[in-house]
Amino acid sequence: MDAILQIENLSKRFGGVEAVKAVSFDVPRGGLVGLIGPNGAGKTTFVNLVTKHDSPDTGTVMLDAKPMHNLPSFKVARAGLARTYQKNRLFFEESVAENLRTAMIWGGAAKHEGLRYPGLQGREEERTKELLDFFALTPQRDSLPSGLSHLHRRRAEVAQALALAPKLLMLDEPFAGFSRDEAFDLIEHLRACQKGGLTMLLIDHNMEVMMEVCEYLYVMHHGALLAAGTPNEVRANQDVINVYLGAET
Amino acid sequence: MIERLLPSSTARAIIGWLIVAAILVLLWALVGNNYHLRLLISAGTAMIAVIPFGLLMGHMGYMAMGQGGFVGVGAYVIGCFTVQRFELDFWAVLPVSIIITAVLAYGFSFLLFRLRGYHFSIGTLALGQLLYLAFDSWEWVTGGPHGTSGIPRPAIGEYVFGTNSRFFILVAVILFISAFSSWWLARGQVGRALSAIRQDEDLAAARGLNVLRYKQFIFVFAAVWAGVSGALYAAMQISIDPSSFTIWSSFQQVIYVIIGGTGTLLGPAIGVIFITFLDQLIADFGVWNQLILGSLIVITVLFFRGGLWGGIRMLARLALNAVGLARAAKAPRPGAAE
Repeated sequence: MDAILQIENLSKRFGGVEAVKAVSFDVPRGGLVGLIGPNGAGKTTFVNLVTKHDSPDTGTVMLDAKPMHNLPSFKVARAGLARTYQKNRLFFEESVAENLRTAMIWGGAAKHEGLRYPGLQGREEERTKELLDFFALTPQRDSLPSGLSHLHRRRAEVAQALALAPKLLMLDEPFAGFSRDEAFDLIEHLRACQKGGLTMLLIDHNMEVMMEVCEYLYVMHHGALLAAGTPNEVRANQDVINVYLGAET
Repeated sequence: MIERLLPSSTARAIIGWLIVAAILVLLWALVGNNYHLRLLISAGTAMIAVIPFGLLMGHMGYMAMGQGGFVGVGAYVIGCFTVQRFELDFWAVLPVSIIITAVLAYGFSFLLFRLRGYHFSIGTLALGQLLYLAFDSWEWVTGGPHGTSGIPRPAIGEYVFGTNSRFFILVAVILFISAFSSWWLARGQVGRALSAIRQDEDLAAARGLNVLRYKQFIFVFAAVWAGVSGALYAAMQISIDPSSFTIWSSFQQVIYVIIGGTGTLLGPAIGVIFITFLDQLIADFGVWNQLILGSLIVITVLFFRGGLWGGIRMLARLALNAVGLARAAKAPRPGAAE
């Protein structure tokens, strides 16, 4: 497997709580991989460690065989690892278009070879326009985030992350607050980006949607990796059934 | 509608800076009274520190409460090198003062920017107090509690900035540079970065911004201008002692920004002017003057979230709206009978 992201033995402890326990896994290049687990499983902490919003106590994170675990978060972003947040986050005083432009300026010019998803070609204005068109946000280009619907805010956040021209996008609970139709509308956009070479790691606790969407799944529970496999394998895993159906004793 | 009534942003900037320069020249030409000149010098010296500090506190959202310490460092370096230990020229010492302040601020920034929010404020408060204790204790450099006296007024060749009228020119020129450099930073990439840090610094980092570098840069920038302000203060006062650089002097800078208005460059300047003249107005009220000042701060925070400058802008916007509406009402409606 050609792994774009390799995580080895990642751990983090907050006082007496071991939030992430020696987690290791790979994400294949161009894949759409899911990380699921019930609330409190340590998924968001894990994302924070990989993107260096928090420093791991132990472990390594390699993106394209380059170490990320010793870089500050802005360098991780510039190296091509972008993320979105569980609670929607945009620069609230800037318009949607400005939010995108800001990421383009700080992330550096689109430089990742082999990527072809929207918003990579041309100058900032052309890239912004292409991303806005792609996410059907053109009518909202001059709106502030506070004036957007939840759906549009989420789209704008994903568009802003893509404005960095990342190789790998980690989406933390991207479907939170979405209806099934809205979730699948966003998935269609993400799949189009995947065809353009983007690798994605989706983090969510919605088993139903994740099973349908992801090609491969990792399951976290109590900070540790509980299971891994294709959606069918995970669905049949007794440990996962216990955790999700509450049959654990 | 309002936009059509206003000139473009570049034209506004040029007009604005010409007005600032004109005001400074007019003040120099028209104010002859020594006492009033002294007040203007005092206010100008404070503005040199407070306008750049507005970038740190207002634009970036980091309320530093130890700026008075950096004012003291600038002042004592001048005192030490021009009279206390050496007898060097003011202009030779000023770059030394800038470098020492910058190095100190840069060094402490590594510790301080491990903190955020109130923790950062408390950290800077401790730094301000630490510097005050150094001024009070390090007699060899500062003269200790008695301070340093006999600091010479700066001179360029034979032209000594000895009188208040001449010293005002010096303060006005340096104030112009301080304000212009702050404006230049605020309008470009630095301003965009500071605003993003204030809004959500984790998000800014996740989108590729080197947050720590910008925070350190603006902290050092504000500290350097505080040091320059201190250098001028020392030269103006001729003698300095630690009582001028207590925590209260740091609080004053915060008050200037809050009263004048955060997030703008004019706000802190208006805050300095307002407090300077208010101080004169209420000077005769004895102990009550602090109560009046405190009440005004509370009123401003409660009712004018944008400070005095925010209030002025709101009134101007209302007036422009009224003018726009009046024009629209007078204009003939399309299709109306002649």
